[in-house]
Amino acid sequence: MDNTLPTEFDIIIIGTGLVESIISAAASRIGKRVLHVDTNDYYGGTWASFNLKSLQEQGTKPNEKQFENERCLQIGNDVFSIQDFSEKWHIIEHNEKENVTQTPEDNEKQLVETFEDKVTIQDESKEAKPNVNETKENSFSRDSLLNNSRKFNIDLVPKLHFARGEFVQLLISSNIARYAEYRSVSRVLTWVNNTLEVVPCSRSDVFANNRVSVIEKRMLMKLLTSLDEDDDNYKDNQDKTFLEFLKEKKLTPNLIHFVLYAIARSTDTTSCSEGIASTKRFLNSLGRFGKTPFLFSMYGSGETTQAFCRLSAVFGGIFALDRAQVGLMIEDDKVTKVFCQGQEICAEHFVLGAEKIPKLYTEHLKVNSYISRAVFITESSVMPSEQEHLTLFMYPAENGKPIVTVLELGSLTGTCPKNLFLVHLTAKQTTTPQEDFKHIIDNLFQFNDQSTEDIRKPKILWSCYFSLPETNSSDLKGTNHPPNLFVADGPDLDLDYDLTIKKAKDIFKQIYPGDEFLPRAPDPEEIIFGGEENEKENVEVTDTLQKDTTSLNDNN
Amino acid sequence: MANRTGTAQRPNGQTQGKICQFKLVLLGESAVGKSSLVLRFVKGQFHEYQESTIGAAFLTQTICLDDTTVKFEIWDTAGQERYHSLAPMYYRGAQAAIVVYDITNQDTFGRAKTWVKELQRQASPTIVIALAGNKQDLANKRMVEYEEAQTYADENGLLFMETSAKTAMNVNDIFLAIAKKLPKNEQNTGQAGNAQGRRLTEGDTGPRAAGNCCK
Repeated sequence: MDNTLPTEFDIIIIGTGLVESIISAAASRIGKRVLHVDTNDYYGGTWASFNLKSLQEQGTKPNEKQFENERCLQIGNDVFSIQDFSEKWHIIEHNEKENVTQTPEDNEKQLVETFEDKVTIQDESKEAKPNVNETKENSFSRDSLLNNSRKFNIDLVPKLHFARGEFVQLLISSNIARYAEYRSVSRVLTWVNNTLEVVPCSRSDVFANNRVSVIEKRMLMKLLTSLDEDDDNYKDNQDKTFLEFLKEKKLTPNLIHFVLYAIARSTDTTSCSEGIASTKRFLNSLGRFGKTPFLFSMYGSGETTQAFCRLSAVFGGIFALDRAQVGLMIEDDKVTKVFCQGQEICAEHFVLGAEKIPKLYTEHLKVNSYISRAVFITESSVMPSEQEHLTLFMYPAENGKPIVTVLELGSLTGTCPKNLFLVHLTAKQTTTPQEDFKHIIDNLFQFNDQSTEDIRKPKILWSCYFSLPETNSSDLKGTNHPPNLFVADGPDLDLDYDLTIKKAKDIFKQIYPGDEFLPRAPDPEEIIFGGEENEKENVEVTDTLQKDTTSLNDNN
Repeated sequence: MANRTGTAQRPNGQTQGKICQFKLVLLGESAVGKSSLVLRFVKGQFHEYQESTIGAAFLTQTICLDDTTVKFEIWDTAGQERYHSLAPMYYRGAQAAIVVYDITNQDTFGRAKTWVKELQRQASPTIVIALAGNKQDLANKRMVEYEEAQTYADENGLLFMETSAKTAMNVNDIFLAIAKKLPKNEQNTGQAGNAQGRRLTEGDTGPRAAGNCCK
C-alpha cells in the first residue's frame, strides 16, 4: 500500500498524549487539516495503556533511534519520558500441569483456553458466589499471566472522572462520550487506625455505615450539606487549615479523617479554602452515575486519548503512527515543515508532546517534580467482597510519605483477566516509587514469594515501578522553542483530567483564538451525505443543548 | 436511553417486541468499499467515487427480524486504517464485525485475515464476524477465488458472502445474516449488563444507561 502522506496541512501534531489528542480533535472539528503522527506504534505516549507484555518491554526499550539528517532536528528526549522502570515476578515460571514441550504458539492457545475454562466454570455456575478461598492456590504462573497478556490494559496514568466534572461535561457536550464506556467506582476506602474503612459517600452510605455512630452521622450530614450549600460562610476561614476548620466544627477524629483525607484528599496543612473546594468537587459529583462520584474508563484510561483521536479522524484528521524518523525543519526561527520518513510536510502550526521535544531544547531543563507509580497484579482484593468492586483507596499522608491514590481494578473494567486484580498506586514523588509506597505494601499486601504468609493480605504476583515527570507549562517555558511550535504537557497528578483539558484548550485558543472549542458533533441521524437532499439545511448543530443538570441532589 | 433499549411502539400503539442494539465495526484495507457497503445498507446509495464522508463514521440502521428490532450502531474506521493507525478502542465492546476485502485484490484478502486474527485475539470472544468479498460486480477481474474465501471462513467460523455495494448484491443479506446470528435473549443481556460499561449521556441519573439488548 502507498504509505505516502499528503504534504500540506494546517496543523501537524506530533505525539498522541492526551493534550495533543484533544487539540487534534478540536482542530479537526473546526475544519482544519490535521496531520497527527507518532513515533510509537501505539496511541497515548506517556498516557498510554499497555498489555502486560508490552508494558514489560517498556523497561528494555532502546533509546529513540538516531537518524542522519542535517536539515532537521530529530524529535524525542529522555527528560520527559518514563523513568526508572523496573518490574518483577513473584510467581513461578510455569505450573507442572502446563505442557511446555509444545511450540510457543500452541502453548499460548492452549493456556489461554485452560485459563478461560477455569474461570468460566466458576463464573457461570448458578450458585457461583465469588470464591474468595477456593482452591486456586498456585494456579497462577508467569506463563498463564503472559498468555493472557492482552487481557491486561495497564495504564501509565490511571485517572478517575468526577461524574459532574469538566471532563465528563466535555465528553458529553462534544458528543465524544459515544465512543467510550465507563464504569462507576463502587467504593472509596481509606486507612484509619491501621484498618481499611469504607468512606461513606452518600446519605445512604452514611446511614448504612455501622462504624459511624448516630450522632456522627448527623454531624457529617450537617457538615456536608452546609459545605454544599453555602458559598460565603467560609470566607472568614481563609487563614486556617482545613484541619483546623473541621476541628472547630467539633467533628470526631473519625469523621475528620473521612472528610480530610478521603473526601477532600487533603493533608494536615491543606488550606481551608482548598479543602472546601475539594470537598465540594466531590459532593457535586455524587448521585449522578453511581454510588461514588467517580467513573473509570473501561479498558483503561488510555482509551480516552483514542476517543479524541477518533473524533479527529472522523472529521478528517490523518493519523500515522509508528513513524520512526520524525524531525522539525526550522527556517528563520520558525518551524516550517516536519520531516517524516523521507517526506517533507508543511503546516502553519505544530504541536509537540513534551516527550517529543528535540533534545536541543531540553538540554538545560530540569524536571522539578515527578510522579511515583507502581502497578501490582494481585490475586485478591484488599477488601474481599461478594461482588467485584472498583475501588478507590485514599491512603493519607503520614511520616513524610505522600498522599497515595490507590486504584484497584477487577476484570469488569476490561483491564485484567478474571480472578485477578490490577492495583495502581500514584503519588507525588518524595524519594523513589519503591520508598514512597513501601509502607502501603507492608500494611496491606504481601509478595507471593515472601517467606511468611498472611492470609488476610492479597498476594502480589507481579510488581512494577516507574516515575513519570510531572510537567507543567512553566517547566517548558525555558525551552526557547520557535513561536509556532506549541508544547503539550505530559501527565499531572490531578485525579481527573481538569488540568489536561485546560492545557489543551489554552493551546487551542492560542492557535485559533476565534473558534469554538469542541462544539457538539452531530448525531448520525443529523448527517447529510453529499448529493443527498440538497435543499435540506445543513444540520451542523451549534446549540449545545447544555441543560444544567448539575444541581446537586443526592438521590440516595 | 430510550433509543438504546426498550419496547418499541407501532404508530397504532401495538407493541412490537424487543429492540436489541449492537455495535458493529467495519474493518479492512483502505478502498475495499467499507463505507460504500454501509452507505448502501443505511441510505440505499452508491457513489462511484465516494470520498470519505467527513463526520459520518458512525451510522445507525434498524432491521426487523420476526418480533425483534435489531438496531445496528455501525462504526466506520474514519480512515485511521489508511496508515495502519486504527485505535484498539475502535473494536472494544463490538458484538459484530464485517471484515471487508476486495475480490480483485489478493493483498486485501491477506489483510482481511490479519483483521480476523486481531479480532479473535482482541475483541469479545462472542463477537460475530462476517467476511465480505466486496466488488462482486467486478468478478471478471477477480483475484480471490470464492472457494478460497469460503474455506477460510468455514475454518474460522465466519459468515461469508460476496457483496457489491454498487449493485446492492448481498448487502442487506449480510447484515441480516449477522442480525440472525447475534444473541438476542435476555439471559445474554443480563450478563452483558454486568460486563459492559455505561455510555455517558446528559442528565443521566439511572443506574445504567447502556445495554446491548434489553427486554
